Amino acid sequence: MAQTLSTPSSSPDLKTHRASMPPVLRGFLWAAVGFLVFNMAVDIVDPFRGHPFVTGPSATLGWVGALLGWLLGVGAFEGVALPLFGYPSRWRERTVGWRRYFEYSTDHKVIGLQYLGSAMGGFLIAGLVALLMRWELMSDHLTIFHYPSNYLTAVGIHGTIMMFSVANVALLGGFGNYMVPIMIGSRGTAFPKLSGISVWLVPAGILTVLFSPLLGAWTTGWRGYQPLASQDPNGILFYYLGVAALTTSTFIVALNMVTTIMFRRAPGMTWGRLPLFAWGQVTVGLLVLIWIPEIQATFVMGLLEKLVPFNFFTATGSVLSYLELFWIFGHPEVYMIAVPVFALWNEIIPVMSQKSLFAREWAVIGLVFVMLLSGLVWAHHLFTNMRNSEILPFAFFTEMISIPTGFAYMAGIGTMWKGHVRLTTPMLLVLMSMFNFLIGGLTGVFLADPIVNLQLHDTFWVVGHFHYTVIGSIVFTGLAAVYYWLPKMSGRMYSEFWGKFLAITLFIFFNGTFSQFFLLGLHGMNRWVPAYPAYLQPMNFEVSIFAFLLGFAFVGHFVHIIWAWRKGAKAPDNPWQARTPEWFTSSPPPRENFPVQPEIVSSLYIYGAEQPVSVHMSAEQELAAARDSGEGGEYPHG
Amino acid sequence: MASRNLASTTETIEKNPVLRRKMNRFGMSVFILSQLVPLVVLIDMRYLFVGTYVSPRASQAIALIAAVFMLASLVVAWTVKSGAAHGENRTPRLKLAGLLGVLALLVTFYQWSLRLSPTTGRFGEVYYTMTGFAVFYAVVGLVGLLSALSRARFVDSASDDHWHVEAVSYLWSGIAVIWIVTYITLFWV
Repeated sequence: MAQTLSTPSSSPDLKTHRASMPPVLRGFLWAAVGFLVFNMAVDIVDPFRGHPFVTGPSATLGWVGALLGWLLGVGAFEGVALPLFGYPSRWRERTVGWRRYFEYSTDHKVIGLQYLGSAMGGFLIAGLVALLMRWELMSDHLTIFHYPSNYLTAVGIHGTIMMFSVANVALLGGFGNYMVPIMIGSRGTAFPKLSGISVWLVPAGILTVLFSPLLGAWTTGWRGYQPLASQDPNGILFYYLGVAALTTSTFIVALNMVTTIMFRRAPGMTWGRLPLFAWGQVTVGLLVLIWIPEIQATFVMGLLEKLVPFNFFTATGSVLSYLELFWIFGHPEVYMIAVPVFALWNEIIPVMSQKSLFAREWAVIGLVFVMLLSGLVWAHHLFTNMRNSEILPFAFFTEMISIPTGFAYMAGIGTMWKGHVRLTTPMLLVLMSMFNFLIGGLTGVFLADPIVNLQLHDTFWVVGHFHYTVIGSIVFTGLAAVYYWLPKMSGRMYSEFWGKFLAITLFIFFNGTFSQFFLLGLHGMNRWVPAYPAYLQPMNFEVSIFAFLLGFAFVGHFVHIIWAWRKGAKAPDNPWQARTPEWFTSSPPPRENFPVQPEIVSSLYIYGAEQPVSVHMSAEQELAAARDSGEGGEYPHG
Repeated sequence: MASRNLASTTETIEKNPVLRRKMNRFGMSVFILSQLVPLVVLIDMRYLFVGTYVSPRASQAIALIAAVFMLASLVVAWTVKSGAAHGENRTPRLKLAGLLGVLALLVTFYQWSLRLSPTTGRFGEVYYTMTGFAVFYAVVGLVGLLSALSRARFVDSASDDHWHVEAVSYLWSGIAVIWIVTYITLFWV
């Protein structure tokens, strides 16, 4: 609860504590013990002796034990639990070396990279599952999946991991944790201990969802639809539990980021000077703080519906209520993904154009209004279940939301207009992202029209639409952010040739894959089916080939990024001549981000004119800090 | 979008413990407020599924006893919170707050054991779900209270800023409010 401020200390008498085994390994071991203990406790009180060792209720409680064991095992026991109860902390954080990324940490930069690593792992897993789906769809009948429920389980795992552990995590948890504190001139986050725990919920959530088929198939997709979920075997329990872990992590990120931005801005970092990406984090943070608790309550009800069982959402209850409760979160969720993307476009474009950000205030207003309107559009997912009179307002707001979204485009295009655009890899990826999101947006306008919606509902048109909005935004812009900040995070530069080559490859294969989804949809290809009419097979076959090539392009990017991180040429501290504070410290930044507390003295987005340097640090203090600084090692934990 | 230069007036939390305390309170307030969202969902479901119906098999008296325990616990916890906010150490009172919370839990468990309404009955579903949420929060809050009591044995009171005590009593107060609203919604309104 209490978040002590960590300050460096070099007390030599503090005994270093190291776990008897690597923390992640200990986490797995304690998780296994936790599962067994809680599972058996349920078995012992189970009045029906004929039940197997693992039942739905015992697996649910066992999962709680496993999660506690996992979190304590990776370091929260020494780092959080003991100090929380007043015992002296025996945890000493590493400040150098790769091992610090595989244990509990309070350094927001380490946490940011842990989030990014988890998101990347989730992306590869869910991507691999997507390729299995495409492999299946190369034929018009069942091949690698024996039953439709197996295929649908794959669809659910793919969607759940992509949405809750990649889309919600990469920009919010990853770059939010790493970059936002530095961008606002802070030397840390508001709740570092809480944040240090929350990141470890992500691998726990991913693994829970990935291994959910151990308890049986589930057929609901990423939405956990009731009453279908209650008719599935117990695999759906691990869907609800895994998502609970992942959404809790996102919730903690939002709480930490909003509080950090509210209270830990550097002197002079006024709201009028706040970086666009930080604005994106605040607006999304508010969305998360409202809607994540809502969906968690809904999912708990879904879990009880399956476990007890209850009948909230069966035919004797209210089937539509689950859909409404899901989508009232589900559409703001899309903007939890998209708003940081809009913010990042206008973070990168002025730097690469070396031109002042056009209509900065409108770019910020756009983010805020997208946030506000995002809660008014959700029922467009349910047009097939609604009366005409109910459809109209939601169709109206769905089309309206394109206006504040357009502000992000206006600011970006206005900034590039007559600027000297440097077509670097991050800039190229931003332009591609803008194009892709535009396609996603335009095809969404069709879906906002009720007449068209009723025809296209549940077809591949919809799948194409949301992949253009989600991959087109978060993945392309996420990659742009990786390339943009790679010199800052690693101190090394990527290969511009390979970066551009892979970006173009990605763009071609992405469009080759998903543009044809629209055609498939128009030709009558339904979602949620592993077997389909034979006349759709040739195009599906061709789409799958593009999908495999797309997978290779992603892997190529990851290999290139890892190579650049380790072997790339040394990067200067500010290779892009940017003005935001993260570029006014060394690369990678030191433990407390800046040698001394910086002060923001002018706007961060004014280029060209004779502007003073935006970040000021006292030279005397810097010298003193340089004299006092050590060479790294360990960081005492208060 | 007015830009106001705060450089001359704003200090960072490293230099300003008052600002740090405000930051911590803000975080806790946002957390407690966010937990009202699930409560709203549950209240919504209560009226959607059963309107204002209350099962005649549900003993309002037993639920009232639990709610009164939580109300008393709320009052005690709030005095601890207010004291901690002003630098006064009233940590031992958390024992009373916790004891009242445990009593509320025990009374609720007793009512659960009566199986007052079949779980397949609509009111029973709503009852068990809403009280289940309240019990979950209370268990988490009790762990928080225990941590403050345990911490008080080891940490020098004079050097402590009492944020931990303020935080857990604040959290417990929020949990007690959720409990009482749950009771009122289930049985009164």
